[in-house]
Amino acid sequence: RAESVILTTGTFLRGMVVIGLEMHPAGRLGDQPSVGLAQTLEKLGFVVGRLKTGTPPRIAKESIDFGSLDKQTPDDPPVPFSFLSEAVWIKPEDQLPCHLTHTNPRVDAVILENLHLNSHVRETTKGPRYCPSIESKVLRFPNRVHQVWLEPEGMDSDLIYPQGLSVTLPAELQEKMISCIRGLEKARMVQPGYGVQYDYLDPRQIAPSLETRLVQRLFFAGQINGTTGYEEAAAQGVVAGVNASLRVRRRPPFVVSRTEGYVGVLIDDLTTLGTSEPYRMFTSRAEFRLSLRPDNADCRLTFRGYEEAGCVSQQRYDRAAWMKSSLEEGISVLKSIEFSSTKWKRLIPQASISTSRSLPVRCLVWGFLFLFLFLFFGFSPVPRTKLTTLRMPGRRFSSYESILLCQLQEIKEVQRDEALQLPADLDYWSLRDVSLSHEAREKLHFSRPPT
Amino acid sequence: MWRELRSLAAWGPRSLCTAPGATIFALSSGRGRCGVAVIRTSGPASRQALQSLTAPRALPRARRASLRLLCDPRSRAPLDRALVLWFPGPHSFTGEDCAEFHVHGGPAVVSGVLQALGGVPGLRPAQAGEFTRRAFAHGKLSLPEVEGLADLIHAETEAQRRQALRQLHGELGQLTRGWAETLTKALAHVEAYIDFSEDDSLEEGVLERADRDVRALEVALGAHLRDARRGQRLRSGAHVVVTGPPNAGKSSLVNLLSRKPVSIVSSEPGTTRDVLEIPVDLAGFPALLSDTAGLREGVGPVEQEGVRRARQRLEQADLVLAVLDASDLASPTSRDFLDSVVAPLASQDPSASSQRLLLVLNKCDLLPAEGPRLQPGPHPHLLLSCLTEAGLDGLLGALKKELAVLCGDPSTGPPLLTRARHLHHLQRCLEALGRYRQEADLALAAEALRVARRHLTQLAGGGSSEEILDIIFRDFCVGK
Repeated sequence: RAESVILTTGTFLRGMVVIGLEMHPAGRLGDQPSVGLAQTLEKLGFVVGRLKTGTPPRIAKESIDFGSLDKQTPDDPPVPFSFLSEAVWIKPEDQLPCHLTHTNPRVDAVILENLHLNSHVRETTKGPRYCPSIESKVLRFPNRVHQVWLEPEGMDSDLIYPQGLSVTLPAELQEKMISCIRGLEKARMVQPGYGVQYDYLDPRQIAPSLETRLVQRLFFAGQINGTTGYEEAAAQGVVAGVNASLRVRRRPPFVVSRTEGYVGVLIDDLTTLGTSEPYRMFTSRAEFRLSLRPDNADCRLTFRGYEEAGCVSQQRYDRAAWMKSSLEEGISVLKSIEFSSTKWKRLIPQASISTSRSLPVRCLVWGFLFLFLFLFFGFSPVPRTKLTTLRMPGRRFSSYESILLCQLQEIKEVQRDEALQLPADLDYWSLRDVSLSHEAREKLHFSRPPT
Repeated sequence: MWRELRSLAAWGPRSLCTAPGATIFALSSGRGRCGVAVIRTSGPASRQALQSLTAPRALPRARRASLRLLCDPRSRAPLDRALVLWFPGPHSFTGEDCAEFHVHGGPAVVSGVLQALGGVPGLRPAQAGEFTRRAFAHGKLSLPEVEGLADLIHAETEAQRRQALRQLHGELGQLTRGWAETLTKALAHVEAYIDFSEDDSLEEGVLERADRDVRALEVALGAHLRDARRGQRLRSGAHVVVTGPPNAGKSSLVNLLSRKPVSIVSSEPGTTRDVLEIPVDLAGFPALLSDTAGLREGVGPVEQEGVRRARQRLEQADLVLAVLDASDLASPTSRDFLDSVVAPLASQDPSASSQRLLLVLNKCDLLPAEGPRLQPGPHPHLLLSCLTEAGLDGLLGALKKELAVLCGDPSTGPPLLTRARHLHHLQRCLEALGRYRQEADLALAAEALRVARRHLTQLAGGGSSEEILDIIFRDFCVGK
């Protein structure tokens, strides 16, 4: 008996693993699928769909000849993801590199000659628009070489994950195909690649808080909603977790708007439009991409997370507040620096500043100015320690500010429309005097958008 | 960094959107012969709009009609001497700052003012129902008014839909769609480069190709705008489409109404292939009269094409003149026409913006003087003979009534506003393309392209991000 339940079934709902022509029920290679759960969900009235995805084979690291391949070295210094960290825990030189290799016509040949042994690709389950497997790459973009990234599975693992090589050929043919690839001539395949088909539940049946409409206090997150990818699943998990606990505490739900973060774009796309292919996030999906940047994630989400969701620690909140006020302070100081346009022209001859006006010109080019003041004048309006931290966000801010002002207008309009709430029980079928096609009414009735 | 400087200068204060919310403007009165046309604005830039058009005079006192000389802010050319009203929010129709221009109703003046407004920064043409939407958002409408609002939006959307159809099929519509497709593809390629060039290998020259396509588009757009400004034939008026089965006398009727032989008339069915559009003066109202091919399952491919165009034109019509041969009502073609075309039109809700229908039985001179007459159905009809001109007065009277309703309805989107909208979006698109060219930061360049594309898709339709993704995955091998 739980107050709230979150279901993250991954690919386990009536999962079927496919290798070659062989199919057997499994959520993942070696694990049982969930059939009973799938049936229960269907009986409850949820609309169920079917998706398929795949994974590449795993190769033993010591059987690969890395010498002949391009190496991609990790970042030095590595930039931490978290705003709370000044540096990453690992020493730059201890990080592991990845290697790049390519397919070639012999690989294509192995695939093309054996399509009859490959049921996964042939089936009618609608594939995504992008290329999820090496077979689809070869079929859709023939006569080309395709990249294969060899990535370590873990710091201490001796397995290599060949990204780009998702495949469902029979295991022996996978080995043959691998041996055609440069660097992998003597590679030993430890685990074959395979495809998996699974049930997912149409995400238009859940609210933007990820709570289902049919069953209160039940939340869905991850591949069960039709997404693919770790980040996509993790984002939903966070939101579902937050909302599950808010529900228990009888607080209003925490919803991220698509103007506030990619999480919002993801959830809004899923709950409003649904998806027929495994949903992957791309920046092109976001209309306000310039406003949704990693460097301003704290401004966008940390404060809301602290005040509304209760999922932000005091330490993180304090750090975000400090960053915000320092940035504002620095920018207001810079904005207050006024020189005449002739003086500016003398200081920064490369900038195109019109000298026809004799009014003092506010400095436009803050990003440059940070560096300029720091280097050439040896002084800065804000303490030097702060300056280094703020330099990058400061520069980005100045480069984007004018465009962001315009986007802000758009964002406000979107947010104003979002504030117009539609009643949850609005009967779309009987609405008269509204020119909605039959198809539109059907879609609205099914997805019941809240705004 | 130096490039950042240059690109920042390129954005410039000119294109900074200083207003936090967009300000809209629209023609609020009807078209046709009106003495006074009312143009409204709503939004934070209304003050600036009013001031720049009435410069150097100060703002008039709030809610008092004042006489002002309106001039184009850029060229200082005088436009009209007009009554202006200034309604600072929240005591205005929409709750925002509003300005009203009561100008003389001639097309040249109205289009001049609309264009001048389009040039004021922060202003853009309103969409269907937008004024009412803003009024509603500011809590200015009560519940009964909201129900009236539903009617209004429905009417406006219907009319806009027809107007959009006309634009889409017109020459400009096709041109715009082609441009929008080019831009979508260029944008998709740039976005693919941003998203995938690191991990997945894209082909060489993706960005260069996009650059080339965008540059070609810039040139084409620039040329088009220059031509447009040199003055198009202002085609305004209600769209009256004459339709009916073959050989019913449609072309004769068109010739009669336009008082000169415009269409080719012959006794052979299937004479008219193309759709001819003739501006006429019908009972005092400007109208665009279209003669169409007789609707039937055509024989040859050319005639089939004519029928297809006729059906298309029918969808865009404001007023449908259905013409039947009075002596031939029992024939299958006639009955078919009555069922498939007349009946659905006749059963429509007779609100102002739905399509209106006039059913005309031509060749009544061939009917027997007495005896039972076949009835074409429940919809009222008029008897006419193009040959003897019997019944012509009755027809003109009926036309006058219908056109009075049509022309008095402001929501049928006068072509003047349409033209202003077109010019506005095309100009903004061209500006955005110029920014793309100067932009060194790829994300900012993509943004400029996105803005440019949005302006075009506002005219041509489409514009979702799914379209972009479709193209990215079609053109590039992007993996998992």
